[in-house]
Amino acid sequence: VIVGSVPTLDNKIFDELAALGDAIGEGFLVGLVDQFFSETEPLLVGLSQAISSDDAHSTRRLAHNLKGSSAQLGGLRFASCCDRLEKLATSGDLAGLRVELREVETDYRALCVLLRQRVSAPRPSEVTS
Amino acid sequence: VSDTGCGIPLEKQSSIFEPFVQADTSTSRKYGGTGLGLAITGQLVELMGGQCGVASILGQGSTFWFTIRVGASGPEATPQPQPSLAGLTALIVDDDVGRSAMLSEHLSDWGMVVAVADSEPGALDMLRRGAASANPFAVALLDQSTPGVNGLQLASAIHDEEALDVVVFVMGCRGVFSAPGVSEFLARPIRFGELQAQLQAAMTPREPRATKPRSGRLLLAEDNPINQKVALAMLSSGGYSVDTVLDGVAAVQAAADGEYDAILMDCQMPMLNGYEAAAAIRLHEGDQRHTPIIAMTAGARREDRASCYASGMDSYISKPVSKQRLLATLAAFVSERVA
Repeated sequence: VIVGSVPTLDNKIFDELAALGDAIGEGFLVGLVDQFFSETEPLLVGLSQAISSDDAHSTRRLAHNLKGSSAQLGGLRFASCCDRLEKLATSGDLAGLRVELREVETDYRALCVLLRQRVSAPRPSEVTS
Repeated sequence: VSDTGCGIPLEKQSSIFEPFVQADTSTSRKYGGTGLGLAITGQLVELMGGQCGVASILGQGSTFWFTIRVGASGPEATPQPQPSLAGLTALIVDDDVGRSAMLSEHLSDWGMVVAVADSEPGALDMLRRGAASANPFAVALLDQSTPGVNGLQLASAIHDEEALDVVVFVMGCRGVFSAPGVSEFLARPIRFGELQAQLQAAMTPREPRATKPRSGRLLLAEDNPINQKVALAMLSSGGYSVDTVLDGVAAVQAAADGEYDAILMDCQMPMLNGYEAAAAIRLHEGDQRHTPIIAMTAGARREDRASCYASGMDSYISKPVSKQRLLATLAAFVSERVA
């Protein structure tokens, strides 16, 4: 459960991925973030369609999927918004879903900005050395 | 509390809250009871500043009620990792998955790696396997009070096995203050603050073992491509070779076909979810095999944990998965091999 102010991008989680990328080999992190973008966008379109057609089942499934991948990259604010969507869809609160949908899109755009910065910026170690 | 019993005549309704009084003394032989329950209830409620009473109609039943005023609880305490306990591996042996889930939640919050067994043979098997792993069990918390598990007997069996170097706590024991192989007796309900202090006192801090590359064959069941990719990278960097499947049905099939050192199971997958898949794998294994199954789930609720244990899974890591947590948990289940 995430309480209080939730970071758009949790640096601790993302740093761990960056370190993993260093161990695995070049391209892992960039590839992962690119894959996240290319997979998330169609899912968001699907989510919006599912909500507008009152399809609670698809909404729940898509929100769960988006929550899982974004949290693993450290996108905790977007993930917690998806978590709320998943819960609203489970309880059948369709009016609540429409309100959250706007927020989920805002949170996603904010996350994209930070992720792009992190994969294009030099590592802190490279700056200091 | 309502029943559909014989009811209580009006003239006796006031006296049943007196000690040693029953409305119908002729039934006490058949149904038992000392006539103290309602007296104790009445006094407790009074001490808490409330009231209790009964409404009853003869031949139809009775409704017992009480009122007390309680304050709203504050926000739940955030997990406080304990550096001296972090990374230590605990085995909970209890046949009540709800209790196991609650205890494992606290231990995980303190940074410990937790496994759960619901029977004595299963527990011994897991401890032996752990002893041959890179992260042997540091403590076993054994239940005493349920029919399925005899904590004292198990403690003595652990004590007798030289290869097992495990601190043993027995929970829910009454009237026993020392027994071979038992470091600590915990009364129920467990007070988690005390438990934490007792664990810290009983445990010698261990240097976290270097996460040297390991060998072992794992099955990863995860339908989300991003999560699969990250988990795969973490596992390969830990030296494991990994087969992946995308749904529960494929996981059951793969587990039947291949001999895995451990299975990592996402809980919400298409076709067959992780709980169902774990249950099917256990059914197929019977008494012949017990492949460690570790749940990976975003569900933070205690019920999610209880469902994992009830379906036959041995351990639980929450998502997003951290590499350190993932490898420390696996290290408790996968035996060391000479590469």
